[in-house]
Order: sequence, then structure tokens, then C-alpha cells
Amino acid sequence: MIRHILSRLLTVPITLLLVALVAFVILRLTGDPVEIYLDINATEEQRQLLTAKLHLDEPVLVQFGLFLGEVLRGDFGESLQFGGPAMPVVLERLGATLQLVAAALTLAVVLGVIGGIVAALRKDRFADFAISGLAVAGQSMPSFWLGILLIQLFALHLKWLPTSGTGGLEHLVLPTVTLATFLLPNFILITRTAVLETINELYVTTARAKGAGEAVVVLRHVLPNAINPVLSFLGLQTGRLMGGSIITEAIFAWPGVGSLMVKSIFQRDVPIVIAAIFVVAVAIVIANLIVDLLQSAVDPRIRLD
Amino acid sequence: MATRRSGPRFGHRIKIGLGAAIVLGAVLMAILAPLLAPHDPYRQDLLARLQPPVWAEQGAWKHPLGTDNYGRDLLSRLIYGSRLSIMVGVSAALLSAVLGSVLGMLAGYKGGWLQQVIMRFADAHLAFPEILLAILIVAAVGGSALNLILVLGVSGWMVYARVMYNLTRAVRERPFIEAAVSHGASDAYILARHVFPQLVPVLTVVCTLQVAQMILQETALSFLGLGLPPPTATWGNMLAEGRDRLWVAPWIANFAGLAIILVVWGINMLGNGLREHLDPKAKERR
Amino acid sequence: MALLEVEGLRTVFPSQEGEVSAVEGASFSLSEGEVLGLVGESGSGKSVTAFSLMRLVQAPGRIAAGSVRFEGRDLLSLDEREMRKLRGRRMSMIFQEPLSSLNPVWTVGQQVMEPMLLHGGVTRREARERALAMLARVGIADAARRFNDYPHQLSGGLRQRVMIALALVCEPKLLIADEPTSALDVTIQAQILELLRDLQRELGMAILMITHDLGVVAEIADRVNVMYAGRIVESAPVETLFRAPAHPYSAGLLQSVPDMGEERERLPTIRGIVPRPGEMPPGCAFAPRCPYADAACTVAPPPVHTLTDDHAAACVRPLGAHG
Repeated sequence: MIRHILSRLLTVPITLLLVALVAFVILRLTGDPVEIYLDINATEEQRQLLTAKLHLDEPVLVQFGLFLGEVLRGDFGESLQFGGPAMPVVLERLGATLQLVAAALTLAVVLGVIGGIVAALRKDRFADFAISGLAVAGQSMPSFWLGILLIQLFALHLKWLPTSGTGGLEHLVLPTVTLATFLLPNFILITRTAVLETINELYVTTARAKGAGEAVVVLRHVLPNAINPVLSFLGLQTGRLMGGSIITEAIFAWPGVGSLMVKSIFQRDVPIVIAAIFVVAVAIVIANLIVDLLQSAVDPRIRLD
Repeated sequence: MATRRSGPRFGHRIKIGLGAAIVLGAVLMAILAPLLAPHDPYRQDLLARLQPPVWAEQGAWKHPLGTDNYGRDLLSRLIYGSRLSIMVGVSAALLSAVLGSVLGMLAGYKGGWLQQVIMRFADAHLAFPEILLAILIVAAVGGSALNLILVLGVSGWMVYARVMYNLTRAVRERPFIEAAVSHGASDAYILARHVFPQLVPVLTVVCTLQVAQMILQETALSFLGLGLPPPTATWGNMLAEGRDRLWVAPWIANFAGLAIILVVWGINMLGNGLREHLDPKAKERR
Repeated sequence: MALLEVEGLRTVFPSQEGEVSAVEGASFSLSEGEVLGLVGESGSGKSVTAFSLMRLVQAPGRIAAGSVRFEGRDLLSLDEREMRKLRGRRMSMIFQEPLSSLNPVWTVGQQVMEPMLLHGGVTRREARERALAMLARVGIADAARRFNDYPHQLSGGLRQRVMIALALVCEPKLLIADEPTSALDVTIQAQILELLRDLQRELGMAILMITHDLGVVAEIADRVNVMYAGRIVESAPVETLFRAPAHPYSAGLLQSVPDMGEERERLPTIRGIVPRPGEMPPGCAFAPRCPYADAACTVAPPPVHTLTDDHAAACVRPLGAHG
């Protein structure tokens, strides 16, 4: 168990190193930082001073090393828009993103698992065709359009919910539903498959032979065994979820990391963008670790080997 | 026990037929855009701004689907928009197919450290949001059709790499590979002439489904304003423009959304139909 | 009165050619405390018979005809709730593969406690104590320590002991054992059979022992039914069957049993294989493989010849009769 966790922990620095590399390359691709920081009337002397200050006169590898050092210290440079260190600005927005992601994840997991179980238990009957059909159709649904449709229906026509922004719980509903649909169709289909694969196992028959009813059989015998592939899938999808939150935040003007990142791209506020990437990457890595721990919690074969 | 089969035997044919019809229609629309579009998609007519579609009260046949904020004909923009989405989607899917297949086949065939490096990298990349990478690169180098293809193509490689890797490992064990090796064939020759043909059916399915994903990503990038810059007629741009005018002209966003979902749905259906055609058990697993 | 009476049981599965019978008109009975062997090759319908008795035939299979009387009640007419009250409490079942028949994410103790908790009447503490006692009774030495282990941490023999413990913890009157020793090493097989025999005497329960292995039957059963292609072709006390089998199929099975202690092979001396359901010959299902078959055997299914009070065979010319 401990070795398992340690080996997983080892992938964390590797992943973050890759992210740092990508971020560094992008940083260099965005053009000469000197041009961005200084205005056109800057003197040659000012240019050289800044070049030295940003270590742009060093070899690329040294620059990358220095960049890594700054990243480790959490120093992503000064934001051009906000005029202060970039990281605190990003972290300030993290709460809103996490709130949205957590709500959407909960919704997707709950509905996905319930839908998948019902579809599996009613395999090849109407409920299965309806649920699986909707799920397959949902895979073709661009979530950004779904968000727009939801705004039209619930905000503009029915006036039940606000179109965008933050405030009370009612502001959370539409973004949550939109983001949840990034995952929901796949969750339904994966759960359905996992339940179908489990339900014919001999230990399920054992449970029935003990006199267990359908509810006990499904909830206590099938589900704990079927949940693992669902969790594996969840681990793979955390990235997709964070990506989806960027789009969802843009649709609903949700003040999270994603909308900050998109806005900063247009403002060419590179420090904010880089800091945001790292926050998202760390969030994904942590989410994957949590999924790993959950998996070993539900499956003693992982936990005890 | 007798084998069980449920559902109609021809289900996948319907899917392939319907999917292919939609895809063919979309492709024809893209190719014949100049002939089909009633107006120039970029001609502004500020006197005919935000006209509703023809079936609405103030609609007129001059603009069957209405006009946008600048009085541009929506039907024409929709038809021209298909060009970019389909071209970017197909090109990006093909590019990542080439990249991913070569790397996946190499990893599966050679094994060893090469496999470790390639597949570890694929796993790490798989965990990282592809749209995020695309956003960052487009933000850095700017949005053009070529950039979109390159970015989406590069960020989609690992899907193919994983599939091709697993298949290649299975194919490598077959006797005819050993026979070819004993005849002194080179690795490149064996991969190209013996391994690759075995993988083509699955590759076709994955590639078809990936085109749909790529179109979704392209429209998402456009929607965020990171695709082709605004005057260009793309479905994502139309959605983004429509989002700001939902109250006065909801049809702008909705027609673009309908176009996207129809094409993506058609491609998915075609891909799933092909998959079930190749592997009848796939329907069970979905 | 017999504990279990099965009359004309027919269990069918749908196939492309329509419904085919896996069990075709099986009739037999089992007295209290009796051990009945049900012998046949794989595909003979013996496992489907077992699942039919528990009413656990997996959809789309179903019981199409017949009656199953257990303790005087017709099981096939009970509603599912009443049937559930019997399963695990009055009648239990164990299977061939103990690893796959135990839930991998539950501890051994939880699984042994479950039947008691499902059927009520005990507190968790009582259930725990009885489960511990039962684990000790099936010969698990350090039951208290094993209680919190998971199935994958146990050896094959221990797993089957756990399976037996959870099947017998409510002290049922009937245990249906579906090839309980086939997946185990020969030495472990003997231990498990001995354990089953001991527990059967202690608890006074009846056992329906389903096996392809006549050696198992010889060790544990009082009577034996031989099953072929969904039908019971011969029924006799164990000694009678071993001494003077009446059905050519039973005779063939006996010839293929190696000496005890040797590695048992799967019935090599009868040529051919069991016909698949749906491809049954019109007459006796065994006729195509039978060394004594003639034209009379291919006309209609053979009638049941009663040879003595407790010996019957479904054969046109039972072996004892024509010498």
C-alpha cells in the first residue's frame, strides 16, 4: 500500500516537469518579453538592463533551469493586468473553480452511476435504450451549446435562474449542469458496462443463494466491484473536467481560474497564464492521487498487495 | 448453453448508412459552398440586422435563416462555416493518426525503453487537458487554420498511440511476423507491410470518431475566441457571437449549435456503426 | 416424506433455433439427511438442475415445466420474497470455484455473517460470534485472525471452507454442492469431502452432490443419479451402480474412472461428446455413442425400466437385463 502510494507520488514531479517544459516553450513562443514589458520608446540601455534581469542573455538550458527555480518558489512573475505577483491572483480564483468542478463532478457521478446501473439492470429493454441512447447522443452534444440552450430556457424564457455571474446557489445551477454533461454520458456508459460485467460473476449468484434481495445484491455486491473501472475512468477524466471548466466559465462568466486564463491570454498577461497552467496541472495531479487512494480503499486486492 | 444474440442483426448498417449520409451531405456542403450559399457570407447589410428566420413573423425568404448583428446572411455563413470545421477536423484527425500510429506501432513493436518513454509520455499527456494545451499554443502562436490543425493534431496523438500500441503487441506475436523476420525483412518494412495492414480497420474507426472530437475542439476554441479571428465564418465564432445576443436573436447561436451537433452526431454514428461492423461484441461494451 | 421431490423438471434456454432444454424431465427425490450424487459430463445439465432447484437460473433461461417440492412446499409457485427466505436459510449452495464465488471486496467474516443478517433474528454481535464458531467448525484454525482477511489472501482449500461456512451458517436442511472439489488439489479434495461428510452428519442435512467424478460419489454419496443430455438416465444406490450399472452410459463412466489416487482424467473411454441442446437425436440421446445401440434406440426416447425397488434406468435394453 505504502509502496503503491510512493510509486504514484513519484509520477508527480515528472508530470510537473513536463508541464514546466511546455510552459517554458510557450513562454519563449509568445515573443520577446522585452517587447511586451517595455514600450516602444524604451532606450537601448533599458532594453539591455531588462534582458539581463530576465536572464535572456543566458543559454536556453540555463534559462530553463532558472525558470524551474522560480516555479519551485511559486514565483511566476508580475501580472501585467493586476500589477502584482501572478500566483496570488490565480489562487484567489481557485475557490470558484473548485466549487464549480466539485458540484459538476458530484452531479455527474451520482446521475452517471444511477443511470448506468438502471441501464444495465434493464439491458435491452426500454429503459436501457432510452438511457444509453441519450448517453450516446450526449457524447455528440457540444457542451458550450448546451450551456447556451440552458441559458435560453431557464434564464431568458422561464426566468428561473440567472444567466451568468456568481451569487447564491442559483448561479451555480446552470454552470454545474453544463460542466456535468462533459462527463455524464461516458459515466453512464462505463458504469453500465462495469455493472454488466460484474452482474454475472459467481459471487453475485452466491449472494442470491444466501437469500439476498435485488437491492442488496446490486448495492452491496455488484456496485463495490463495478465501481473500480468507473474510478479509473474518473482519474483519466479529471483533465477533461478541468478543460471543460474553462469553457463553462467562459459561457457563464464564472469568475474562476479558467475565465481568468482566457482573459489573460487576450491581455498577453503571460505570468498569469503560466501560473494558471500550473495550478490546473497540480489540481489534476492531486485529483488523480485521490482517485488512486479511493480505488485502493474500495478494492482490497489493490490495497493489500 | 446456446449463444444469445439480441437486437437486430442489421443495426450497424442503419448507423453506417445514416452516419455516412450526414457526413457526405456535410462534405458536399463544404465543397459546394460557393454554389449553395445564397449570399456572400461576409457582406454586411446594416439595414437588415438581426432578421429572424423565414418562419418567424418578420422573416423573409431573402435570408432563410435570418441575419446576424451585421446583417450577414446566416445560412451562407453556416454553409461556409462547414468548410473550416470539416477541413480542420479531418486534417487534425489525420495528422494525429499519423503521429500516434507511428509512435504506438514503434512502442508496441520495439518494446524496451522506447516503449517505456513513449507510453509514459502518452499517459502523462492523457491526464492533461488537451483543450488547455490547445488554448495555450493557439494563444502563443495565434489562430490560423494551419495552426489549429497543427495544435489539435499534435494534442490528439496519444489516443491513437494507445490503441495502436496494444494492437501491435498482439499482432507481433503472430507467426507471419516471425516468418518475415526470418526472411531478413527490415523493421520498417515489417511495420509498413505486415503490421500496419492488420491495424487499418481499427485505425479507421478511431480516426472517424476522432474527427468528431476534433470538430468539437475546434468549435470550442473558436467559441473561446482562440480560433480564426472573428470576421471569419466558423460555427464556433457564430456561437460566440450568438451567445452575446441570446435575448434578441437566439437563432444565431442555435443554428450554429444545431449544425455542430448534427455533423458530430453523424460522424459518431458512422464510427460506432463501423466498430460494430468490425466487432459485433462491441455493441455490448459500447 | 421426502425432503425434496423433483417431478418432470424442464429448464429451457432460448437459442437461434428456438427454445432448447438444458434439463428435460428430470425427476428424483432426496430424503432428510441423505447424500445424493448427481453425476454427468459437463453439458449434461447437472448444474442447471442445481440452479433450477434454487430458482437461480440466469435469464434468459427459465424453468418451463415440472414441480419442485421442498419440505412439502412447491418452490416453483412461491413468490420471490418467500423463495428468498428459504435460500441460505433452509437450502444453500456452494460452487466449484471458491475464489470467484466469494466477493473479492468483502472480508471473510462479513460474508459468513451475511446470511444470518439477511434472514434476521440475530444481532450483529451474535452473528459475529456464530460466524467465528462456524469458521472454526469448518476447520479454519485461526478463525479470529482470518475473519478480517479477504478471499484473495486465502489458499484455495481455505476459500472453499469459507464458502462451506457461509452456506451452512444458518444450518440449512439441504446443501446443493456444485462440483465443490473439482478446482482443488487432490489432497485438499479429500479434506473437503471429509469435512462435508462430517458436517452432514452433525447437522443432519441432506446434500445434493453434483460432480463429474465418480470417485467423489463413491466417497460421500448414499445414492446416485446419472445424468446425460438433460435427462436422468439411471438412479441407484452407490454400491449397486458401481457393481452392476444398468445404463450403458453409466457403465462407460465407470470404466473411465482411474484407480483412486491417480490423476483423474475426464472420462476418456466414451467416444464422442454430449450432443448440444437443440441437436438432440430423436431417440435415446446416448445412442450415437452407445456401443449397444440399434435401430430401436433411435425411434423414441427410451422408457424408464424399474429394475429393483431402488434401481431404475432409462434404456431400451438395460445391461443387467440382457446379460
